[in-house]
Amino acid sequence: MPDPEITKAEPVFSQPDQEVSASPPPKPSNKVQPVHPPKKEKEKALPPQFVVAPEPKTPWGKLNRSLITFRNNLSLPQPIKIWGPRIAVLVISITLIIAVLPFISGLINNFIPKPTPTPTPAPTQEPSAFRPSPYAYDEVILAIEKKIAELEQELKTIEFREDALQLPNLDWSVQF
Amino acid sequence: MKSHLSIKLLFSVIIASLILVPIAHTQTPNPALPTPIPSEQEEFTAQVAYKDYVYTFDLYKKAHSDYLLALSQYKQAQTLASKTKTQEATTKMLQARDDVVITYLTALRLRVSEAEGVNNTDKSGLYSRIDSEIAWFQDHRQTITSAGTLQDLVADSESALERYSIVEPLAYEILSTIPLGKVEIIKSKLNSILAEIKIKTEEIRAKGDHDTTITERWILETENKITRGLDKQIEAQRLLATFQVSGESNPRLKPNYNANYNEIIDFLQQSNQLYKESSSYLKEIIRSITVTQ
Repeated sequence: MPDPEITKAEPVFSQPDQEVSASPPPKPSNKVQPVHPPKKEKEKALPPQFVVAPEPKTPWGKLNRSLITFRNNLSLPQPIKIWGPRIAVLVISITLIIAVLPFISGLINNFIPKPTPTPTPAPTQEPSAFRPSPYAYDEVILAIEKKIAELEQELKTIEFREDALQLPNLDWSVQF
Repeated sequence: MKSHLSIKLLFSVIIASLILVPIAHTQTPNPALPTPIPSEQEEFTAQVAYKDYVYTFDLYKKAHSDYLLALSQYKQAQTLASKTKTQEATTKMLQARDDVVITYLTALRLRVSEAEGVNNTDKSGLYSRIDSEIAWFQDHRQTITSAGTLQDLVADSESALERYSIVEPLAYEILSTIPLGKVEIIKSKLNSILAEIKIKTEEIRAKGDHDTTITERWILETENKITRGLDKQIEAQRLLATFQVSGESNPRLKPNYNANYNEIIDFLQQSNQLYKESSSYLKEIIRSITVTQ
C-alpha cells in the first residue's frame, strides 16, 4: 500500500483562510506535499476536496493546473460576479432573436399553408322558382299588370289635403 | 289781273295741302301696316284664380293694417279728422275683405270644376251655392260705400260675418269633396281591374289548363279589402253631410268645421291604405295566374 500522504497533491480548491504564497507553484512531482495542511490532520483522512488530482499529462491539463495554482497563489477573493457581460450577452441575444424572428416567421408562413378565402355566395334567386304558366305572357294579363303598376303609382302620390285653399284668416270684429 | 288771282289760288292750294295731308295721315290707319293684335286672354284656370286670390289677400292685409293704424289714432285723438280717416280705412278694409271672400270662392269653384271623381250633379250643386255667395258678397261690397257713419260700417261688417257662416261650411264641404273624388277614382280603377281579372279567371277555369284555386282565393280577399275601404269612404261621406246641415239650418252657430274636415281626411287616408293593400293583392292574383304552382 503506498503512503497516502506521498500521493496527496495540491488541493484543488484553496480555503479562504489559506495563506497566499508568492512563490511559484511547486513543480509537479509524485511526492508533492499539500500546501499548509494542518499538522494534526496529516494523519487523518483528507476530505474529498483535498484529494490530489493526478498529474496531468496533456498540455491542456497542465495549463489548467498551472492556472489554478496561479490563482490560488494570488489568494484573490472569490470571483466577483460581473453582471455587465451577462447583460450584454442577454441584450445581444434578444436583439438577434428579434432580428431573426421575422425571417423565421416568414419561413414558417411559407411552410404553413395559407387559408384561401372562400368565395361569398352571391344571393341568387332560385333558378327553378319561376315556372311560367300558359298565361305568363298573355296580352290581357300583361295589360292588367300595367294598369296595376299605374294604380300603385297613383296611390303613392295621392294628396288629400288642399293646403293652399284653406280658409283665409280674416278679421271679422270691426268695433269702434 | 287774272294771272295774279290764279297765282294766289295756286299758293293757297299748296299751303292747304301741306297742312291737311299730314293730319289726314295721322287720322287714317295705314292698311299696309299690321294692326296691333290684342293680347290673347289668359285662360282662367284654377291656378290663375288661386293667384288672384293670393294677390287680393295681400291687398286685404295692407288695408287691414291701415285700418288698425287709423283706428288706434282715432281712439287716441277722437277728432273729426281721425274719425273720417278711420271711416275711409274701414271702408277700404271691408271692401278688401269682401274681395278676398269673392276671389277665394272663385278659386274653389274652379278647383271643383277641375276635380276628378266628383259627379256632375254634385258639381252643379256646389256651383250654384258658390255663385250665390259670390253674388251676395259682390252686392255687399257695393253697399259698403253708402255707409255714412262708423256704426253703419259695423252693421255692414256684421252682416258679412253672418253670411260668412254659410261660406265656411261650404268651403270645407268643397275641400272634402275634392279628396273624396280622388278616392272614388281609385276605387273605380280597382274595381275595373278586378272585373277584368275575374273575366280572365273564368276563362282560364273554363279551359282547365291552369289551376285557379289560389287566384279565386286572392280575388275574394281583394274584394273584402275593397269593401272595407268603401266603408271608410262612406264614413267620410257621412261627415261631409254635416257641413250641409250646419250650413243651412244653423247659420249662426259655428261648429268645429276644421275638426270635421280633419276627421274626413283621416277616414279617406284609411280608405286609401286599404286600397293600397287591395292593389298588392291584385299583384298576387297576377302572380298566381302567370306562375305554375
